[in-house]
Amino acid sequence: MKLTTIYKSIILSIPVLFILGCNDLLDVEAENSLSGNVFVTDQNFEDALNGAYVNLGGIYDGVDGGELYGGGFQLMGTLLSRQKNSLFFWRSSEAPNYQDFMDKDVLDINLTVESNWRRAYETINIVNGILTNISNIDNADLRERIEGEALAIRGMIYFELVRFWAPQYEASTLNSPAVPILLEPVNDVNDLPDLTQATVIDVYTRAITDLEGAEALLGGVTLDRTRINVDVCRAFLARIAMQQNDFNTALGYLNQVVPQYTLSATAMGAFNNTSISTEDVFVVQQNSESTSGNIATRTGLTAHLGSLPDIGFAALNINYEVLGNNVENSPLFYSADDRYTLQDDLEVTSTSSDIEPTAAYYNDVINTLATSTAKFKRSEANIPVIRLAELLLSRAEAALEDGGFASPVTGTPLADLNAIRTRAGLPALLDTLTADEFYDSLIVERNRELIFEGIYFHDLKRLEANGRRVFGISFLSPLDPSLILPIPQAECDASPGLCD
Amino acid sequence: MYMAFSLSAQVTLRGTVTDAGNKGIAGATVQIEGTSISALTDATGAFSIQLTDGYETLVISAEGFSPQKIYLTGHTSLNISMKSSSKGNVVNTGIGSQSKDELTSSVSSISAEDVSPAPLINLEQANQGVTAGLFVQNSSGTLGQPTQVRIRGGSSLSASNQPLYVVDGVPLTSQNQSNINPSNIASIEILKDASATAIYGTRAANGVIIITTKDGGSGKMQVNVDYQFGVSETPKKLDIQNGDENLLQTFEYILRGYEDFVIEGRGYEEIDLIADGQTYDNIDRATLEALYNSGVDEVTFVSTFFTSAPPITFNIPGFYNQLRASGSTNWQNEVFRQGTSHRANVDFQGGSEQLGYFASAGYSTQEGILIGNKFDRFNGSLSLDSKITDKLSANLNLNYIYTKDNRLPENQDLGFPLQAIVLPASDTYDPNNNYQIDVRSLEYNPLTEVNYSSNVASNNSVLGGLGFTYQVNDKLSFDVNGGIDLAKYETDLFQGPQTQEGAGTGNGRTRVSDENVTNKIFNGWATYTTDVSGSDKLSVILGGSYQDSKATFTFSDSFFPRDAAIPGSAFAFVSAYTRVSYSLGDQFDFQVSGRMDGSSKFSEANRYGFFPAVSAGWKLNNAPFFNVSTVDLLKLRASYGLVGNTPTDDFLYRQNYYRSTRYGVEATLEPANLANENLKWETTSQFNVGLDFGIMNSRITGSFDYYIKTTSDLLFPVPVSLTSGFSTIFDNIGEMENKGFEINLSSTNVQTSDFSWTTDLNLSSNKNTITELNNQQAIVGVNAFLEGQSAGVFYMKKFVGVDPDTGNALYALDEEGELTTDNWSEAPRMVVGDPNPDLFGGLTNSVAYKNFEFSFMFQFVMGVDLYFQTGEFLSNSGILNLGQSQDQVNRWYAPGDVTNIPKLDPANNFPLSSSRWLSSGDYVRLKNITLTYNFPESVLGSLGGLRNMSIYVSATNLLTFTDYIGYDPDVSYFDPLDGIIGQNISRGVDNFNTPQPRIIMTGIKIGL
Repeated sequence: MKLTTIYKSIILSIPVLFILGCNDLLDVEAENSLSGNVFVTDQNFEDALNGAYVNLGGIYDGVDGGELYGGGFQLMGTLLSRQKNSLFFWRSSEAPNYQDFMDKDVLDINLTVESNWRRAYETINIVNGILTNISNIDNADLRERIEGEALAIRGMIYFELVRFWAPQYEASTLNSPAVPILLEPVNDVNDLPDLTQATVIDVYTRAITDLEGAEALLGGVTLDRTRINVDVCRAFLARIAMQQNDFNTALGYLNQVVPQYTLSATAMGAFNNTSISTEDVFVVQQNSESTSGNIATRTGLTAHLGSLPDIGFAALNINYEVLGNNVENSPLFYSADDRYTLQDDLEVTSTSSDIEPTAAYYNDVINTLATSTAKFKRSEANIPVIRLAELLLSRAEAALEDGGFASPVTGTPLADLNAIRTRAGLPALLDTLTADEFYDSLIVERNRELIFEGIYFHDLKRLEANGRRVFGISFLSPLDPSLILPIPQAECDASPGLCD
Repeated sequence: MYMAFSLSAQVTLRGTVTDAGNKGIAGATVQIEGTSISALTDATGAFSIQLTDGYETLVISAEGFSPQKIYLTGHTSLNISMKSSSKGNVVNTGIGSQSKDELTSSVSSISAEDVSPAPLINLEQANQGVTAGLFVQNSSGTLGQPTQVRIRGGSSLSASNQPLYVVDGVPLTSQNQSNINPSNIASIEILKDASATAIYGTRAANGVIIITTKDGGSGKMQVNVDYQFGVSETPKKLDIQNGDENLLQTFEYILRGYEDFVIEGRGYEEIDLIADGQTYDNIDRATLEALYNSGVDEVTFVSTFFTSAPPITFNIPGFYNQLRASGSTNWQNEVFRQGTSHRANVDFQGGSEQLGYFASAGYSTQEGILIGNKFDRFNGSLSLDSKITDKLSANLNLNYIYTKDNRLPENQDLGFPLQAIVLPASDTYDPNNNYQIDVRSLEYNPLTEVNYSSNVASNNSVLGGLGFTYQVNDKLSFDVNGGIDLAKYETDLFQGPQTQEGAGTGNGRTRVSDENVTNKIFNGWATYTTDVSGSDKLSVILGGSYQDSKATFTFSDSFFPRDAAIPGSAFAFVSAYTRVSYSLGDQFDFQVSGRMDGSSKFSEANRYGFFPAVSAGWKLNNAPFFNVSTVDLLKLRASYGLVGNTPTDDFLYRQNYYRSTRYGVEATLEPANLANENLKWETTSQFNVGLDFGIMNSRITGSFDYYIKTTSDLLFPVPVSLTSGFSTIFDNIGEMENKGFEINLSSTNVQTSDFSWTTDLNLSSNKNTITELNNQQAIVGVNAFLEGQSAGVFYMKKFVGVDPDTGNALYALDEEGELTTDNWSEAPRMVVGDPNPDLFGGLTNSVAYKNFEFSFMFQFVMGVDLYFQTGEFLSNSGILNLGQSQDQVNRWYAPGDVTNIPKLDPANNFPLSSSRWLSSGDYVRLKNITLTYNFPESVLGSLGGLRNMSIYVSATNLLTFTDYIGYDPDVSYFDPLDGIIGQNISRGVDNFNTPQPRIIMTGIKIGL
């Protein structure tokens, strides 16, 4: 009897012991995975910041795309700014999600819009996590650098969000609804705030505040040109000021940055570099392992724009001639221009390494009527995000505007524009041009120099807002609401009230 | 007085002990219970034993048979028929076994003899059609591909719907159930209702399949050797257009292109065609053939609408080189082959009372029916049973598995051999030029891939367990065991520079991926059994277990200089369980069980779940009022219980970061998910009623079950604000129901000493409905999860025919198909079919005559639809001018043609999925037919005393009766990239799937 009691107590204690004693056994961890508050070690801050760069650069992660500076911003901007016609068209069969941009009819269910939106906020969420926990870094130098880089990333993204997803900055739109501003990290589904669209001015202010904060924090940091440094902050502050048509502010920042850099020897030398060039202010770093996309992933600039079978599927078909024709928004290239150099001897068996370094365009070996740009011919090379050529052209414009649009144009504006022209093999402009003549030349030069970089689309908007309309877009005003990206349907559905 | 009584009643009992085939069993022990008096049977199975009063209890035992107890009632002669131990009376319910007699839950057993002799590579396939409630669907006939198994329908949308496999007490993580040597399996138990599965708690929602491998024996060593040779081939070839027909299509393709250009491009509105001096106002089929046969090389179009428009002339050969092709290649013959297979197995069984052993080694090599596909497997096993002391025994099981799979690319990837069937038959290839297609050189020839790449997956695994049983007394015992399930998978893919993927690489592209699974289980329980009063019995099991499973992954690609760090997987379960069984007399059995599970997959608050079950059985045949002498068994069963299911991903409740993608050369850390602390188990409740019966001395036995299974708190991805960086999170939102019935029937139709005939039939019906999905839906390809519908219904545009005036395909705008459109994008998706079968089952007949045994098994699936996605390219009016199936010849050519096949449209490069390729997937299949000859004793004796020897010929998938248009109705493509949800949604899709092979085999089995 007694024995039975002992047995019984042993038996009954088994489950109790298991449950009580084994709770720790349930705390298992998987390899290459971390959880909880990761912002506890300096290394984790560094790694998380790198994670933000990965997203900022749209490095392929197998999810749903959203290449941001690794291609999304460039492709959306480029396609929105170009007139669709039979000589410049998008092969919808290869990349259907970009067709809407060519059609100037971007639906709120467009997956490219959705993925870039999502990834932009994913990046913001990462830097918000860093910024919220930044005080956990004890070393002041390290803390300031990481905080500076994180702020700069957030500022850059809010700027891109507001200029893609909201009306152009001008007096009449300052209080128009733009995009939500999130400054706290969202880690748990229960942390999601009620979202509202902040106004255009609020988002601009946020971007400027973040970048100015970054500029102050990074001012004392030794320049590391593979990352965001004080110059990048200033270059972006200049970009923002240009977008606001605030030429005086822009000029101030440009005068600080421009002298730090020198143009590459050749026009095409600014592209497809595997190391930082003298012209690069900020690039998306790519290598064969970490790239925004290639022919295998079918994402990124090289895959969409490249036509040789080893690099891309030639989604964009460009008739070479049309780039020199006088059609709407044409760069009006002519033969002397190095940026219009065509290599037409590639064959079906050619690979990207057969493209000459000097070639700006090469023949599409499959669709023999078309050509492709050589700006992004290597998926493992850096993608320039902001480079000296843009800053020089911006400074020329800012100085001209800030100087009262005075004729004849001489001095800084002329020197800056001529620096770009002469590098491309074009004759320098004389110092006898009127402001109007010079301005026309300057804007065409921006179109030529920055083509396929997604910059000119935003230029058209700010030029229009500045009352200096140069060209329309597919017969629309650049300020037409159809050129503003919609907030994705998926976001509106998941965030009640946001899109009302 | 006592002595006098005993003396007066002493009797001698004589009898024989035989097996199911009425053959005497030599060496069986006949013992009087509670005494040391025993006798052994002789070579013919005969025995005699002295009894005291004729009312003793006899215990008869023999190796390989279940022991029997016989309560004597004054017998003087007795014939005892023994049942093979792997079949029948004792059912392994995972933790502790139960006598079938007392079982109150729904469990199916498959014994070793029922495991098919076919060289089918995996165990799941072998069980197709064998028992009710188990639906087995092959993903394809490609060797080494996974097989889908559903017990009573799927119970989850986002987590796995595969049953939990438990091999010798080890719940698997490795998926190695497919690779266990079928020859080593002693029995398979399928636990279906909640009462049976509840003791497995979480993960038992999809049922549990318990596999028991053979144990050590006792006595002299017995050696079994068997060898089998087989030949497999495609069961069917499709009717595909030949080279001439192909060229005619090419000709039309060119002309239609010109027509389009003139009408659309030049705006000629209405046109006439002038060729060879004749004017045609339509290109109908006769015109097309006449023009093609005349070898016309110039055609002119004139506008009949704008008569002033200039004629446009095209010079055909100059424009289109595809007409130069003059080959006649039967691509099916290029990619299908006769595959041979060999299988050899040897096992040793024997031992002493103290130590029994079983050891085996098996090797099989099988060629697929598609070129490049081959699967080799080696199995080794060792099992030791040791009786260390009277009370302590130990058991060790070790299974080693090595497989080498020469794989094929994914069906959808270029280079999959079966894709060659859409290459134009009019073309040829050049083996000296990388197998490149001669004329259509831009089309990729799968022969190039097969000849210049290698894709080898290997699997090195160990499955094993060590267990101890301590029998304190006849009432109480303790069991502890530990098990391991270790697997290392490696896939080496090499694609030479000649291949599409390896192009431009110089030396080719190499990708290596590794997966290491380490799964450990510790389990301990106590069993207490006692007679309560008189004939009432109580049995209590109480135990606990801990499981810890980890997997790590590595991947490298020669395109990338550095390996990517892939997040691993890890989970643990800690559990306590109990089962109380109570038998009230010989009429009533009750059982209550429960399991408490703690899972690492949930937050602290939701970590533990309790899964109880109750069941009861009433043996009506033992009731006092029951008086039907022909009925031996009539048992009513009912059960109700809960079981759980966990998400596939490990740590969804918390925010995780992963170190993976690198930026430049820097390490990175990125969020992997958005935490949802509220996440909890999917819970499946199941109600089951059943009836078991046996009549006419168990000549006819069977069971009937009806169940309702409801899964609530379904885990499903729910959209979330993209500003979180994620588009969805997992939440518990939905509810799903499975209802159905199952029938198992076995009949011994004839039983004489020379001739016997048995029939087994099983039928299952299951109706699956997603009853609630929080207004969400999920669509993958042509399948969907929709509220109110079966999971995975076909949800696509409904094709209703062809407009006789334009030749355009018409799609329904409303359910009735009264309003139609020829604009594909405009047509809404509709539910047009269901990939879940209404009814399935199997019918087996076994006949034994003297030394011959003959058996055949039909397996069938009814009320199911399949989507012949292959048809989007193979049977799509000449799309992309690909090779087409023969029926496409009857497409629309000119106004007035009444047909169901739309016109050839050179402007259309998209397949435009629609119900045009939806087909009934019903089939009846002669799954297996086997004729065996067992050599008689006389021959065995002359061969040096072999224990047994048999030879057999057998065929698998010999005949299939189906209306399905593709190769084989038993296929379901799933894209590995779709993830679990995608795979749960997308089913019943035939996307260039390899058919199940027809296999003819022959073999020999020898017992030494």
